[in-house]
Amino acid sequence: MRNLAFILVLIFSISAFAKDKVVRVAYFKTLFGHIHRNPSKYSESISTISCGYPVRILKKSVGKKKYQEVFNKHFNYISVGPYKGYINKSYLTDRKPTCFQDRYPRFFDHLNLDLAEMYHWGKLYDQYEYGRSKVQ
Amino acid sequence: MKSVLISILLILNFSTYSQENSGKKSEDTSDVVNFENIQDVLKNDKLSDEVDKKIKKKVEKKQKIKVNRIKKYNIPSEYTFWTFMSEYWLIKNVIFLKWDFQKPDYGLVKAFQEFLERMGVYEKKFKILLLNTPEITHFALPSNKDEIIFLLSVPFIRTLDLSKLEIALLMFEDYLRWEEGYFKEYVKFPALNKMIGSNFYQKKFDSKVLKDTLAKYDQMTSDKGFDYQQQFAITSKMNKILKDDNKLWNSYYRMIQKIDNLVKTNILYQKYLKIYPSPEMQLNWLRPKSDIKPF
Repeated sequence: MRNLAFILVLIFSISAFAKDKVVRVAYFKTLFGHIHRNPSKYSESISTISCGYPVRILKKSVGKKKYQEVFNKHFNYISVGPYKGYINKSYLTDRKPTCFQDRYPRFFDHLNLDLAEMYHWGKLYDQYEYGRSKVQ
Repeated sequence: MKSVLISILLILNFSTYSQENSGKKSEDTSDVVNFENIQDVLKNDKLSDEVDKKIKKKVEKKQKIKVNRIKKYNIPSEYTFWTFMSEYWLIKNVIFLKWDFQKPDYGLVKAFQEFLERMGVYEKKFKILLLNTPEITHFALPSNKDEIIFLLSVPFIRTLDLSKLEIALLMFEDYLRWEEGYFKEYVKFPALNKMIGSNFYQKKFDSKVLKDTLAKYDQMTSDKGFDYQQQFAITSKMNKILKDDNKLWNSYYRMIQKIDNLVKTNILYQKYLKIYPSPEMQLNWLRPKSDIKPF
């Protein structure tokens, strides 16, 4: 009986440990993009998502009732459907964006993009190096 | 007595008959007359206004739905078309351009950002895409007004052993070409001009125009390039901008010398002369002379 209680407590604590906390919902704002396995633009892509897709920004559980939000200054830990991974912060916005696909839906349909092209479009945004000159 | 009774009955019948007839008449007339009377009542109650409003709303809703349906067939305007088109071309040519590869941070963003600020070019957004091929060396692709897309070949800058300043100068040259719109002007053709910003509701979408546009990008980057006149204009502009700063001017001159040597000695880069004619001429134009004449 004592053993059984111990096992139950153990299972309960493990499940609590694995549960991440949702911080907020954000929207994906570039044409296409990738959810990465690790917080790096070269990391393996778990899934490709398109503009306007809602993502849940998570705090990763690191102990009993302890959560860690920041892993990398460029990446957020997120979940989309069944997937959990990392996405570049600069691709997310708090408000639903006006996407190119929504503004020109029939034109976009006529491009007949296949899966590989959507994948590469997401990769393109990862491969770009972004800059901006500022007023001094 | 009998006759009196008959006459009473006759009178009664006649009166009921006439009553029935007059009732029918009054019903018929009331149908028509009542309507007119009701209209006055309706006017007073403002019910007809309500009906008008409802009809107007319905028409407006229908029109809105139609406008939204038509809007779905919009083609991007000049303001949003070019970045999209350039990226579409990059996607279609990923195998040829080899931009999907892992590389270290060369610090180019910071170097170019500082260079732009030094030149007094502020609030310019830019994206740099490094290519792992010597086929296309450097370009600024047509893009929307608020941003620039730079292509830069890693083998090219490595072979030349360019410093960050020299790379920034090379990119600044491309920036000037982008500002002049040489690439965009070459890509544009009548059918494309007609398509940009139009609507194809209840018309057939001409996908050949997009194919032809992609072909124009290919021609420009691999075959046609810039002409002597354009090169002279850009080199003169660079000369004007940099001549106040000896260090920058010398770096620019040295960079073109390096390119000149490379295209004369390395077979991989012989095509460069077709795209950017020619480093040797650029050096001539840059050398201080009193009698430089444009082409």
